[in-house]
Amino acid sequence: MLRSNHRWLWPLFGSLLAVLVVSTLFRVVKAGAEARLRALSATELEARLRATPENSALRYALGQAYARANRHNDAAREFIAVLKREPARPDVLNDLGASYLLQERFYEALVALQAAVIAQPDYALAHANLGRLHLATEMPFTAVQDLERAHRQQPRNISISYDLGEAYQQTLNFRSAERAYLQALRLDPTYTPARVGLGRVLFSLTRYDEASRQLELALQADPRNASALLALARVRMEQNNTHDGWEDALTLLVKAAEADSQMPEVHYELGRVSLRRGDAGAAIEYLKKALLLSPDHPGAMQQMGRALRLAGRTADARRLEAQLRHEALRSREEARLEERVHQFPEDWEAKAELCSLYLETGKTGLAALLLRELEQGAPALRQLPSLQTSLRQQLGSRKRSPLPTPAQASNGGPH
Amino acid sequence: MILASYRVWATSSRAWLAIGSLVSIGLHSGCVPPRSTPASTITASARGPALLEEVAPARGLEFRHEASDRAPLTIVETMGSGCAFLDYNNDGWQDILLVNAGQDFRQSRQMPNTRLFRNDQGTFTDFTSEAGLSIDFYGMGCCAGDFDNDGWTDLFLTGFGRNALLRNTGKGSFQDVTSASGISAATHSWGTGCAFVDIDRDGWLDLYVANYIIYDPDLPLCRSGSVMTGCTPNQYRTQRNLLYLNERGSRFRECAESRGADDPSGAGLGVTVADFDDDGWPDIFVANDGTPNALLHNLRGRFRNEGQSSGVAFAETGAMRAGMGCDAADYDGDGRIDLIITNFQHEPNSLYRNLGRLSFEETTGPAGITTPSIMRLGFGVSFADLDGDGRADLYVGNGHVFDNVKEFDDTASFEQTDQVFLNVAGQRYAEQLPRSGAIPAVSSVSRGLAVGDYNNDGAPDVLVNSLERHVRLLENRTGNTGGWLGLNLVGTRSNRSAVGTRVELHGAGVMQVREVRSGGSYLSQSDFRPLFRFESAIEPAQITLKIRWPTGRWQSVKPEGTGRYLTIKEPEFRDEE
Repeated sequence: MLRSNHRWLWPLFGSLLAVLVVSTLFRVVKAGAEARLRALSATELEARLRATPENSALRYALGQAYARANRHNDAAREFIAVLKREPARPDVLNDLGASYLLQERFYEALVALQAAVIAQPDYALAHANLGRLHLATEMPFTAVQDLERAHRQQPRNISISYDLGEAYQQTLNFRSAERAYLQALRLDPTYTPARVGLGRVLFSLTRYDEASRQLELALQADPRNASALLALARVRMEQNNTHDGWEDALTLLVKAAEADSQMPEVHYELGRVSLRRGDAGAAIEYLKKALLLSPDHPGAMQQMGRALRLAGRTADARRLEAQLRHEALRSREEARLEERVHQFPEDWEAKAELCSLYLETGKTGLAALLLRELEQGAPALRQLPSLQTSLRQQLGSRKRSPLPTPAQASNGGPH
Repeated sequence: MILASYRVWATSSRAWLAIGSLVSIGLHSGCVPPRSTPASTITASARGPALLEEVAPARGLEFRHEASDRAPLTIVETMGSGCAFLDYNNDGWQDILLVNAGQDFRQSRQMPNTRLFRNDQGTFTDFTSEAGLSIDFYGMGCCAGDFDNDGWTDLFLTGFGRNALLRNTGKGSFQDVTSASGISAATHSWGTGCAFVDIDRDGWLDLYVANYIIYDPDLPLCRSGSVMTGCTPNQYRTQRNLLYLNERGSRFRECAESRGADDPSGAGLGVTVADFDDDGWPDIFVANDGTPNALLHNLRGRFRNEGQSSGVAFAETGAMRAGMGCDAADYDGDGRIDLIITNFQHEPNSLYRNLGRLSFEETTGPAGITTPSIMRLGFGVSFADLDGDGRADLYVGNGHVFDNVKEFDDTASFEQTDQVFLNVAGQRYAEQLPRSGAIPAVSSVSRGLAVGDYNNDGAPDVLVNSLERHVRLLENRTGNTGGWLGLNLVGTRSNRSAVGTRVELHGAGVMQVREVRSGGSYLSQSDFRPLFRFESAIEPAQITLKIRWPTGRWQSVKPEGTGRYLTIKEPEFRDEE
């Protein structure tokens, strides 16, 4: 009865089905084509592009190939070229933003990523990249909001769950961080970064036995994971704050330094353990390395001051202590001005002061971000020329791809 | 997608650094030699006898702190107020002063609400009106001392907007002599911790006053993510501290800058005066909130900030912790005065062991303080022998500064429980949990904290002034199985309060050290009277008291008995002594 009454619906269902099949087929074909392009090397793509310079798909693939090869400047150039033809492509905008982010060109990254989420509001990866951008620009609470949005859209994306855990840690929301890491591990129990993250957050929650278990599991999977070795060394020192505990920690830290000699935290901890063992000479050597890798490392400076005093080098210690104090008070002033400019966006003097502090501390990306705002909002500000000169000097010979102008930025992006 | 390459970025050393700096807060501790106290001896005991019990209502102590009728609280409203044990009428019983803030700090005048309670042999009566103590300010802290050497304990109160010097008339009342004495009436100031201290050993108590920050009314609230809450001190400029030199009890002259004691970059809160290098000249420690702590080394009346060289300015991580309250005592029995500082949540409190020659090592971790303190926000803190074993235990008052903290920190709460740490063999501290029955299981927002023996039973009691909550008086119920001895010291050539006196009790192979202090903890004043408790019974004949008066003269005393407060008057030393 029902069938006969609704027979007229059949052609409609048929048409819908046909559209669905065609669109799926189109997507499959497109994905296949993209995959084929992704399989090509940058050199091959360059050659092909010479033959068909107008081919956007090819140019986009070339940009991605450059990005995979960490040639982010070249990648950005290609993405911008694609955007000149197809200005509202969210995937290209996202990748452009990501390229800029990896170059610490935060202003350009922000513009591109914001344009990506305007073009496609439910674009999880662009939201996630915005989150990473905000983590890099020391706005962890905003990062949490971005990453939570991304997570809602792609709850089964492991890396988004992991990054959300990192952002929660930075905002000291340790329980939420624990949940985020556990979610990532539910999706992939072999995902070591999340296991290490979980170990670190359990440590922060002073649940040392559980932290130790997670970090040991991470090391079973990846015995040379320097982050896991470092975190486990810290747990050991807290669990057993005696000579034995320090020896344990020392063994782990030496392994961590062998696995990754470029982590300042590892050398800092080695210095600290050496001091506890009464070996000022060894401490000085380790802390020197830490300060070489991270000249403003406050812990390394503090410990170095102590080590130098123990070694009888009082004048050197005093110099270092004065530097630490200077850095500490400068970072406090930075925090004060950051809140000020957030609450009073028209306080151009405060913005100029903050920009100057960023330049002093080598935070070039953040300085550039502020300078753009100053150029737009207070072009007559007396400090502007000197700030511009300082920024140019700091950027030095850094090769830059075409930048979006402030006018373009205010129109919503580089397209 | 490029996304894959982010993994490299996110796990790079730069990212780890950022996280590491937060994670590492829990592990930094000093480099004391390893000690072999077995862990089993330091776990909280099973439910047993009470150490401290709440008695405020039963003893007639009715007081509720007030700070604001708005939420969220601004930085001014959330800092709370101090409290004091003092004997203002010289009857031998510790009276109580409870500083109060007010109804609206934006107004220059408040309804007077700071209260003085007279101790009538263990019960309290509100004596505020009779004592003429009607201060219409937004009160913060207090300290006591006989600045005019007339034998009656005077008071100094700090506040947001102005401070007040109150002279004890000796007739049961106080007289506001702020302006007449040359104390600054600057309305922009924000006085916090204070202490009377004879910096030049001339026999007259000078006055040190810490200032916090310059509050900006345009910036009442700040963001924590998407939540607006009170700002941290980092959002404001700091204020320099003040040192008033006492000109023979009649006037004070401010001289902090010229004497090297102004610490202009510090956001000062707690002030503890102690002779850290044992040279007979009182040094000043200031717990600075989010700025490097200051240790002002007294060089015969002038000061040099040795915070950094001594190792107490920063945490081991090189981070500036949020110093709130502080206290000093010899916790490890080596005769040197050690230091405790309370800090913010996610930072441990800081315990520093004095190595001598004005050098400290942080022993927070090895002493077992890190883990229990990291999830609390500490304010008032005091060393005191709470369990009667002759060692300095710790009482820490906790409570967050943000009344809406739960909205942006999933591990924090505004109200928190206080903590008692018992000293284990001078090496480690064992937290006594409320479930053990040792202390009341009360969540509050503790701020000012003072220790004093209100019922003269020889056991220290604890007074806590909590933000916008009722006062707590925690009576010590441990008894005194081994005996005790209290001292009531009276200076003659030194200041009458004997502030700055060091007392060493030698006997039966032990030594206990006490100092008479003004100020301390968090904006508070504890009982002046040095109190010694003995783990096991000790004959008075075995005891020798060695007293170094603030003038630097030593006196040796054999007490005639124990189990009481003994009054010792500074002798008239002959010149050759």
